[in-house]
Amino acid sequence: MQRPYTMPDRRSGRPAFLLPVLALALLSSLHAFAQQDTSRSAIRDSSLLRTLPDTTTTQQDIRAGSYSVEASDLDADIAGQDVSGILRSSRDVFNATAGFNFGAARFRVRGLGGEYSTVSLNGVPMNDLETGYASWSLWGGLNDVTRWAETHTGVSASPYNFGGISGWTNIEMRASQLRRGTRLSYAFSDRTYSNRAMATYNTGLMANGWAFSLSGSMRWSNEGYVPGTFYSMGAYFLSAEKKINAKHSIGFTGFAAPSVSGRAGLAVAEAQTLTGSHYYNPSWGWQDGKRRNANVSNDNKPVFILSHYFKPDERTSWNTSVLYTFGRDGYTALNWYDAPDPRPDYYRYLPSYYSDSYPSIAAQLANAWQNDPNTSQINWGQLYFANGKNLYTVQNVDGVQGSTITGMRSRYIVEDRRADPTMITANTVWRRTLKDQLTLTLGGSFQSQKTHYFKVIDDLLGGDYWLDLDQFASRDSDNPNAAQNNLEEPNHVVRKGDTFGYDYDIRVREANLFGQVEKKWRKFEGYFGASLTSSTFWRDGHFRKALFPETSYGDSPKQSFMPAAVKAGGVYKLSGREYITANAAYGATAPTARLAYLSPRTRQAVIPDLATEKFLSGDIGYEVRMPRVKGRATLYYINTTDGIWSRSFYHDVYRTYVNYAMTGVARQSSGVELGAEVKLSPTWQLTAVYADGQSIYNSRPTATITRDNSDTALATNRTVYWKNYRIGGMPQRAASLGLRYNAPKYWSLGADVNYFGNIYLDPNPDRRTVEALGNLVEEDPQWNDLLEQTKLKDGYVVNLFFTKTWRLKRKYRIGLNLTVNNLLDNTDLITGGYEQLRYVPKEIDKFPPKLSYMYGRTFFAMLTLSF
Amino acid sequence: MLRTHCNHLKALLALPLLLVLATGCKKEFDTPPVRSIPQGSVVTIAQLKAMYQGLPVHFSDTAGAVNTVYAVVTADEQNGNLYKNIYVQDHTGAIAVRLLASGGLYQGDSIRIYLPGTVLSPYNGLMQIDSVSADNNVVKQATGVSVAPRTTLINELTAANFGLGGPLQSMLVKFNDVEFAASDTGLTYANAVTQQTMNRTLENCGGNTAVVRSSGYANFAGQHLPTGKGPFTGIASWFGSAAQLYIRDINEVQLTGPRCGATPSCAPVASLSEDFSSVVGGQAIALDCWKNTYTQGSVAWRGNVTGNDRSAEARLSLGQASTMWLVTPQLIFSPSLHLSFSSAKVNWVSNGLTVWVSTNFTGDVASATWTQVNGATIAGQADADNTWVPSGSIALSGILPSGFSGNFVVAFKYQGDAANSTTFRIDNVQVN
Repeated sequence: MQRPYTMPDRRSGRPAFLLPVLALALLSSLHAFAQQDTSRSAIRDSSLLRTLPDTTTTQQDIRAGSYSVEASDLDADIAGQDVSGILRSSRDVFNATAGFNFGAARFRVRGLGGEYSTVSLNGVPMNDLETGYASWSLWGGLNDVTRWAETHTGVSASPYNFGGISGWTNIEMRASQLRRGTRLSYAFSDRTYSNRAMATYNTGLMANGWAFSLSGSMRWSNEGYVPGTFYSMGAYFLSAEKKINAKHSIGFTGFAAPSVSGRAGLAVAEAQTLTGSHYYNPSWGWQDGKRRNANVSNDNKPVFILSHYFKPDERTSWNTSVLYTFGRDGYTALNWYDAPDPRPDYYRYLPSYYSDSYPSIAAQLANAWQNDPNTSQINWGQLYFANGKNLYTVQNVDGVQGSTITGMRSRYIVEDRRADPTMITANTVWRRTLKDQLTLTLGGSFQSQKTHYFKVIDDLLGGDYWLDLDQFASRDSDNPNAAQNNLEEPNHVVRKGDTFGYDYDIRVREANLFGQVEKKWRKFEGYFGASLTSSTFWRDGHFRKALFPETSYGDSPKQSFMPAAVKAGGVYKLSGREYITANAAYGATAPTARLAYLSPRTRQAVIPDLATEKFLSGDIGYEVRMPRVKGRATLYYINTTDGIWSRSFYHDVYRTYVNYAMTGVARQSSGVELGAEVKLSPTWQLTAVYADGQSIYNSRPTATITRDNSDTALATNRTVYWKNYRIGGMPQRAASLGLRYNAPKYWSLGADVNYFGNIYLDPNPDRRTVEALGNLVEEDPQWNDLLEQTKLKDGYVVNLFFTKTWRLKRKYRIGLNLTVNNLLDNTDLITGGYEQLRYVPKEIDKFPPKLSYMYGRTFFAMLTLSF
Repeated sequence: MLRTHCNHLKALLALPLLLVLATGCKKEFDTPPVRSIPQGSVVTIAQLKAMYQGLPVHFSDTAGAVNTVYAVVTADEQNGNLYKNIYVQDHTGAIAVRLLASGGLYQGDSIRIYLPGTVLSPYNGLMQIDSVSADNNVVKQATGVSVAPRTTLINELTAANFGLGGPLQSMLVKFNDVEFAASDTGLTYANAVTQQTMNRTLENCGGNTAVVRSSGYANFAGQHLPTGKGPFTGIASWFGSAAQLYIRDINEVQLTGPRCGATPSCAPVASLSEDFSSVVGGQAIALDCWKNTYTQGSVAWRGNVTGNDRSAEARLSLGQASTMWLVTPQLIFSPSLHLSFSSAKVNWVSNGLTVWVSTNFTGDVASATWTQVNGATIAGQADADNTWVPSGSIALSGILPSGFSGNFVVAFKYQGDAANSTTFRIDNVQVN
């Protein structure tokens, strides 16, 4: 029976200012925000009354979004820093404050992800071609040389590239541009790392035409804030530049930030309650008296840039660079074959799994969770024990008839999941200012990227070998060969360091041309820009998977797109100190390979009807730069359509692992950004920042559900009633109020209060379908249980900081920085999490959301010597 | 000026190198000392099952208590027909094992089960060792150990044999010449779509029936039942008051021959292998396409069952002078064919068994021309009673006419009377 009409879209409580070209005053729109919809279909706070367990590894496999974020040192983080890093390096009051103070709550500029922001080094675009976003961890720990990045929020003119609709950042690593001097610092903290040592030496441009910059750092901790995490990260940087003559300079920059760190995993509320900690980490367990983490990331991706700076005359510059990066990117995880799930928080190991049917078992389990670390954490000893006695004979080893191996076959292993990138980029930008205040910028880039995905055995955990089979494949098929991951080498017996499981490259090539005109008049400055991109990606499989012998091996068909975009904007000067700004962009972006492939580990199938995503973005703002008051107010509106979405997870209705793909995903973000810095007196300074927006899904996407093991469609054209659901995983409202006292004797003391609200968990699309509702009537409470979006509690934190500077012999400067974050030790502020994609329609509590909390009170102390 | 800079440079150049060395390495964990499972007082499966006296037996690790049983896994979970459940067997019997978690034990694994922590109790008449952890209770001794199925008849699936306390419960059994009931025609083994378990009826030509139970999760659940007749191997489990057969490997169900009552085509075959495993003790042998007859007396070759061993037997009835013929199906001659068989005798007084070939046999022994096969070793005076004697491999090209092409048969002829009353048996007749 079809009755989609019984599912009304949620009312968004849409404010009045949503049109991109708007001229309404700020006040009226702010008023609109206050009008919250309170009707029944408004999003209810169902928050965390739900306490039950999980299973799927899907989300854990999605790299982004599953780690802790830290406020003070976002570069320490691997994901989630895509946007916050941008904010942090900005000098705009709003951006700087949002970066430092909102980053801890995963605030996103204008509700957009990092793929909508362009990051460049020396003008060379650094966004990963496969995922779309730039990884700030590539230069993590090189704060001294990346500190002075140039950042703009939203659509704007850029001398480097077209820019993203969320903004753009360029980090200049030219040795001649880095401030001459030496800087040594040591920091001590109880956050992700406990120690940080940093040293930087810049020569500036020397008389002989050379300039050098050297920087290095180490950050480490045996255990971070979250139990079982550890951190060991180095970073080194070398930049050299030679001024050949007045017109030509050439430069070389090379850096890397090798890192090894033990990660924190998200958990369900029940596990957090049982262990009495919001920072419960299921990723580790005791082994021989030491904490061992199963999820260890190990990255080392050096970057090399060769640049030519050409300045034929005072008004013209032509900079050309070639960038090359390669290396390893990997993280370890447990894997197992035909054995009980080794993860301690698997949903069947939690008391709630038994609480209805066997209360006594539930009580026993609860007791074990509270008292036995081998229950609440990974029981490594048991894994070794199981492996050490699993005698097994493999027939026809590696496909050789008659060859057999008998030995201890590992049931559990630690595998290293690799995504080793290689990228080469050539980039050139020509820029000339003509006499009549007209500046012309033309640029082009070509990028070629290969990301090699494969797994290697990291640790056999006491066994002799691992047999490379797909255990889920053999269950669905009576074909004895179905389980083979690679028919070219069936029954592959692998040992430490051997490749297994999957092995393929994702290759992307992108060429871009852009042009921009900037024109200045007496009261008005304006710009116009256009961009054309040619993007191609494909998959090159190195394993012939038995389930997909025809579509897993070799080059896949190429997916090509040619999106274009235009932008325009201007500043009107009300006076020398007040400005009105307006910007807009319209265009398209190519779908990313990351989302386009349904299940790239097994086959080359892509989402049906792949199309470019279209965007429309605009903002209008008022900026003031008075001697005692600096600030801005901006209204923005962003609309994207024809987006795609794909994930894989275990579907409890189809009782199989599925690839879930959606097309026609539209998002809309609108809101206001306010930032002001007021000098109350020569010594007192007040900072106020407020961000309030509404980021929602703005369409009913069409879903296709495909069986992962056979590439057969289980459902097509399924309508997802997603319209007006909030985009989750970030505060949609944030505010900060800070007061700072700057003593004349080179010390200062300050505090700020930061508020976060309107945080939602991202909605699981399949729960919002007619199929999920089944025969439920609207009066049934389960109707709402399925549809309601979880809104998390609002919260606030207080931070305190103190700085002091000494000068010695007029040459040496010593600085002391002390910061206490979350002074009131608020450990109840949920900053991240997700609705599990696995769900049982009439037992929605069976797979509750996984959550992460903001750290409690932490400190950071740093001593700096510079000269 | 420049000099100072360079000095600084030298010192700083070493920095990156140090950092690489300091951070490039990842901590490796040692393999911890491996725990072992204790070994102690051993029982056989028959002894273990006998420990059940009406109440569940909880095994403990008390010193001296029974704690170990050795067995071979006869059916595992690999094909999805069993879940958290396997069957093991030793020379005294077999038992079902209920696992705490699925996986890890495979058919052919020779295992030692450490009993403490497990419970011995029946479920609906099926004795089982419950709560067994494949990791904590089991040590594998060897892999790839094969257990021969016990050849059984459907009418032997009685409570006395396979019910609770029966010596054969949970054993790997093989039925010859069985078929799925006509009422099940067109059905699948189970419902693969809804993953529901289904019962199907297996029957022999005498109308005896048994239940074949298959899980909807089995990888053969969606296959249609075979429509022919042939051998079936599986586990003879028990539920309530009747046996339930579980298929452990779909390739062990070869119901491809003509159904009961259908006239066999008896087209000439290129080779032959007959182990008489479907014969019934004391009843005249009636194998498809074979001819079993007599030209003197009133009895022909009959089935013999000794333990698990079935064969064809020529035995006089009340000392009546008899000549019995057991003739193979028509065989297509090729020069490389060899004949072999085993023979045994009981109470020797004279040699009465001879082997013959004929190229013009059409069903009547008397009207065919027979050539004797010499060179076969046949159980004789010197051999022990009831002991199988291999014939050796006899090249048929040396016996049939030179240059022969066409079809032929082999006949086992027995002659005896009151004074020459030796009983002979034959088994494992092979022509290939």
